[in-house]
Amino acid sequence: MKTTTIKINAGGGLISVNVSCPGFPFPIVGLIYRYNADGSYDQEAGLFTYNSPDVNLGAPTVILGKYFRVEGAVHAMGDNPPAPYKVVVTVSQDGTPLSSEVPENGGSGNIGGTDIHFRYQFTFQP
Amino acid sequence: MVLIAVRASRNFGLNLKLIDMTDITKLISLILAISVAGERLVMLFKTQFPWLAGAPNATQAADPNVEKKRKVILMLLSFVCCTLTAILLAASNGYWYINLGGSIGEVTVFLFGLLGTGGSAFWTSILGYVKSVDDIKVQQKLQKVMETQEMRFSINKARLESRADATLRQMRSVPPPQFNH
Repeated sequence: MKTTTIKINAGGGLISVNVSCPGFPFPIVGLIYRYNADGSYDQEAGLFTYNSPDVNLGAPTVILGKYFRVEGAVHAMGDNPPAPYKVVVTVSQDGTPLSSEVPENGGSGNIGGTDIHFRYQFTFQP
Repeated sequence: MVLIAVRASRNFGLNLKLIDMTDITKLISLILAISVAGERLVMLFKTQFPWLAGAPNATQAADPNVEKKRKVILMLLSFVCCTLTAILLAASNGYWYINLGGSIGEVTVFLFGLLGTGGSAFWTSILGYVKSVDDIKVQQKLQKVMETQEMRFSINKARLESRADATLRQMRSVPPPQFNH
């Protein structure tokens, strides 16, 4: 799976991630996992839901050298025919967006009666 | 938005029937209009026959018998004037009935004449009261709609939250995924 590298200001403020489905009426929910540089699991970085899409990852000093993986699900609303959806993952520093991307794995398409899972990986570079 | 009210049918019988509030307002407005017109006619008679207007000097004690007679004549005159006004209004419907439509239908001109004698002040108060009741009904209806919407919103929110919780529980029930470089 592709891992996106996002450049951040090492001396800057807090890094946060927003996972949402803007413009599409589908609730999403999921977890963000944090991994060490060698790929071993570190901890759960946070969770996002349809009504609280923001997750604070921490200060640059804490997250540099770590890897993150967003695992989420778009909840199906029983649309027939399936309706389009698009998940957008936006990484910001001090509220300023640094990267905004649609996950390649399940981040967009059409959703009908079954929940769709999406994944997105990213890391940071000073 | 209904009330139990008296309906005068074509055969002059009175049936208790559920009548719509809008129709009641319409009926009272018409009685008020007839009452106002009737009062103007009575006023005309009072101008022509000053005796009908009562004693010109308020301090002068009126003969009770004469006063009683005057009041009865005024009441009858008021009834005749209101009925005459109603007959003129019913001209397009055969003179004896006014068709109000809706849940009331046809009402005899004599009933309008009788009710019109109540006076415009009385019917203005009644109209105000009926309109207030109507406003309350509208408010209650709005409140009910809002409560229903709020309840629906709460149920949907609870459903979404329950699904979100279930998904998160499922994700946490398995070991964290391996990171793919």
